[in-house]
Amino acid sequence: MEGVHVIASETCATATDRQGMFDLQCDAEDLFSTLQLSQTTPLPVTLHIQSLGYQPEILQGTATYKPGSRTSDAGTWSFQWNASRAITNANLLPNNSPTHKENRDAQPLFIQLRATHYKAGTVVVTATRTQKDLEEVTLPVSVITEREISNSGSTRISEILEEQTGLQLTSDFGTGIQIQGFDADYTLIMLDGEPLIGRIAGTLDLNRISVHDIRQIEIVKGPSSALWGSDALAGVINIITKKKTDPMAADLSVRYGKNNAADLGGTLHINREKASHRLFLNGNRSDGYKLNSTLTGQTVPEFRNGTASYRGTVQISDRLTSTTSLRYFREKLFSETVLQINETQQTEVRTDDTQDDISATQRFLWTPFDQVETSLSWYYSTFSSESILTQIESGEFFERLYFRQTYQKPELQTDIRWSSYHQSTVGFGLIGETLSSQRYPSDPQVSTRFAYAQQSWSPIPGILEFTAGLRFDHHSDYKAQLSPKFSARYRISDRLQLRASAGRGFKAPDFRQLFLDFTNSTAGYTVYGSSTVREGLQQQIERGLIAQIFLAPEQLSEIRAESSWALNSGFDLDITPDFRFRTNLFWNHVTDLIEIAPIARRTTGQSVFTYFNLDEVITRGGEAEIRVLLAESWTVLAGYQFLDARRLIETTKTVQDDEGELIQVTEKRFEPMFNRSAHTGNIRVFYQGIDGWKGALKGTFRGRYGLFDRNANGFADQDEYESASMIWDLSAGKTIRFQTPQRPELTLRTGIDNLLDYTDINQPFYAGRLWYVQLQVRL
Amino acid sequence: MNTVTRTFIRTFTRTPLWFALPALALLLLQACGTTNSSDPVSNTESQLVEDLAALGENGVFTLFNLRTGEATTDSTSTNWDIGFRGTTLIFNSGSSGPGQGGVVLLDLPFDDVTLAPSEGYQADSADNYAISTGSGTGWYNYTGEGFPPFAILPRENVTLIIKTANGSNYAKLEILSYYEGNPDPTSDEFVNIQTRSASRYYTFRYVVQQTEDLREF
Repeated sequence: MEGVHVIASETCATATDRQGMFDLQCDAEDLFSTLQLSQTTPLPVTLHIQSLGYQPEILQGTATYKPGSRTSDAGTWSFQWNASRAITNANLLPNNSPTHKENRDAQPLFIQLRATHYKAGTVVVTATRTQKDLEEVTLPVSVITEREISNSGSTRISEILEEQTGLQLTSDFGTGIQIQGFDADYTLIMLDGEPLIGRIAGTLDLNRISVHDIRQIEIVKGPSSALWGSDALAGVINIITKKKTDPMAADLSVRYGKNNAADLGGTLHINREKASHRLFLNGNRSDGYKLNSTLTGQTVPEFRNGTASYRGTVQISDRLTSTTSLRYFREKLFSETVLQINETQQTEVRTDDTQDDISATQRFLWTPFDQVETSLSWYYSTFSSESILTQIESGEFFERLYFRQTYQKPELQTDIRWSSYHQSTVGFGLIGETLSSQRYPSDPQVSTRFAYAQQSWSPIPGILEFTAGLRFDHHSDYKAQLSPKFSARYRISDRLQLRASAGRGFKAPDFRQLFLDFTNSTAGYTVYGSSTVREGLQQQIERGLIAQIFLAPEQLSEIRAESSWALNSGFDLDITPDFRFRTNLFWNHVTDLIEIAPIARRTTGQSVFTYFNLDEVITRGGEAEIRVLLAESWTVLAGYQFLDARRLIETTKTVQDDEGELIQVTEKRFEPMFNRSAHTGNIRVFYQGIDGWKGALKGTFRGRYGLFDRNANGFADQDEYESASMIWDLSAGKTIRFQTPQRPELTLRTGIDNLLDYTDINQPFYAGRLWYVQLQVRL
Repeated sequence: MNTVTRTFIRTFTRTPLWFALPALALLLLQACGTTNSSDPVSNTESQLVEDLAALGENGVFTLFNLRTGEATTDSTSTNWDIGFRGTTLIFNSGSSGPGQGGVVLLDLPFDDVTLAPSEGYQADSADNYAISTGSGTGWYNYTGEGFPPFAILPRENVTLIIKTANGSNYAKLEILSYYEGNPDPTSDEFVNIQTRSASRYYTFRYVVQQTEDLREF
């Protein structure tokens, strides 16, 4: 095995070569003190052996020095190692040398490394922007592996995320995810390390992403703005696509289920010596469904979508690689709704929505030296959405709504591995964004310049590690952001590892909050973004439309990004090698949350609104997860999260003093937020037999949560809670392996989602009981 | 116009003795033992008004006299204290009428208010109603797409203190419902918009102090 680090007594280190051999040369003076060297008794030596994806081995041994018979002979060191569980041969006899050096000689030391608890070689990139073993990251990171994804029978990533501990699906103009109590807008969603765009009302619809060509999904909880910038306030979800090394590989999957839900997807990998290609195609459709029979239109509309993606890698030289990625996604939705034209008139309309999402990345990876890796990338993405509304009765055109966003990001990142102890990452780049929509007459453009640096220091490699990061974002339309982050991990023993981190996260004001210029013609109110409010209000004043100004535009302070400070700390405990307990406690304090508030009153009595930094939120809680491997074939996972999410409520009340006279009392309290469950949990049982049979039973629990503010006091009162729910999914399948050289595989699976047929109009992503059959072929 | 049904619980009850004790004690202290035969005697009257229609046809307010418990439509007189039209409330002074009235919105439960403040009464003006017409800022909350959907529900623990049109009587008032028949807003019948009873029918309760210039309830 190549690249295994071997460190003697924490002072001198080397790494294994391609054959897995190592030659550790150390000065005796480095290993031992002068006092120790003057003795002939055995001296203690430790060897740390570590590699990505494997449990670090620590060898305790003794070194004994025998003086040479002649004065010119420096004598002989002999080593004795305590043979621990993984060591098959633990004798090392170095020869003598005039400079007291250890040398690989007579008998080699065989060391067999054990894979870590997760699948061997689970390497994550999201936590540090560099490849790092999941076991060695200083942050709370969880990984959904390809095996878990393919075993789940899911087709869209929302279905697989919903089962994870501490993640809660939300529904607000698309299916989003709630992490540590934050709405979907506060989690950065990335595909191969590049942000996905096209958020509607803050939600990036997770149903846009197929699970087919995904190798793993990495979930980092807690703010990661120090590395990834805006939106990484609650966490980061990074979707990593498949990479194969076989000369040629292909897979195909077909699924059909209730509501005419069909999914067809296939991947083709071709790997040549200097170039590799991957092509992925997917089509997905459903008739949608209706949960409330009294309303016009469906809860989830009929849709069909398609994804095509390509990635090509060319090895230009030994030290230079070029990777090109292209992705195209198109979705069409068809729905019927009742629209209120004015106070008395309403009309039924049919909406045809089309969404197009295109992205392209060109990346050069240059390794000038073994320890240095530089990546130059250019990411381009565009998202457009068009809605055509037609009156059903008359067939007449009613309205066209459109929205188009582009995002470009050139970026340069360099990683330097100075030694086993120090590793640095630095990078900088530029983001340019444009938007056009009927609600943004100015076709706004914004830019961000950013730079970041991260330093990892391992005083005891494999045991103790500290990471510090800092990122600076300079934006054209809001105040610049400085986001630091510190994290540490300490492996107390083979079985116990602690993690802790503190950092800052931010979320940039979105286009709506910056540039909106919208007047509701029926109700007569106006909403301006923070960058359009001065000019817009001035125009209204000149036209004599303003009756009263609450706050002069020149008194408005520059809008700030919503920002947080957060703490995370937890531990992994391996009660047995097959029984892991993992926990993380979190605390987030968010300030400057952007809220809409009136700035002036029009002569019509209606208000003019703009956006202010007003709100404050604290979320805190903890999660715990157990992962048990039973008798090779069974895996049991169970998770639980406790969450306490509160918003600062400031109320001014008019009450009376003892004399009955009026007094104003201002109360500041943190009160429970809506749509947050204090208790959520899951249990997942997977069976994968050697005979090819496989099965999964998954239960997802959601505790009671505040549903709607009946008394408009801004927080969830006890009588505003919706009751708890539990969703069960069951699937079973069989894999047949053919004994030809290619070893192709065929898997047939059938399953029932939402076994107990739970539905709730407020959680439209639960469609009621659904059955499906799926066929997967792997060549 | 729909008929207005009113239920009177016109019980000219004397305020219980303990109710007046603090005030009496205060008076005793101030008077240093001297007796004053002209001390005003509290005379409160509790009423429940059901389904007062405020349909606002042709923009007309349904005007109500809290002292007599009678409805009228002549806004130019001082024969009314509070007016209703849809969700809008008016009071007899300022831009709304010739009277000396006014209103205070107190964030206190109806039963906790035992004394009207001496000052701070708001009058309607051309720009602003004394009781804001918006959801959550005046007397009601609008539920929008929430639960029950598209409903006007009175804010809890809000009491209106009204100075009557003559400027010398005080009343405390709590709006109980905006819908005909004062339905339970959590009932299935109310939650379904199709079966919900008609809006713009006020049910409210109030206590008026019939003794002039006395602020106790």
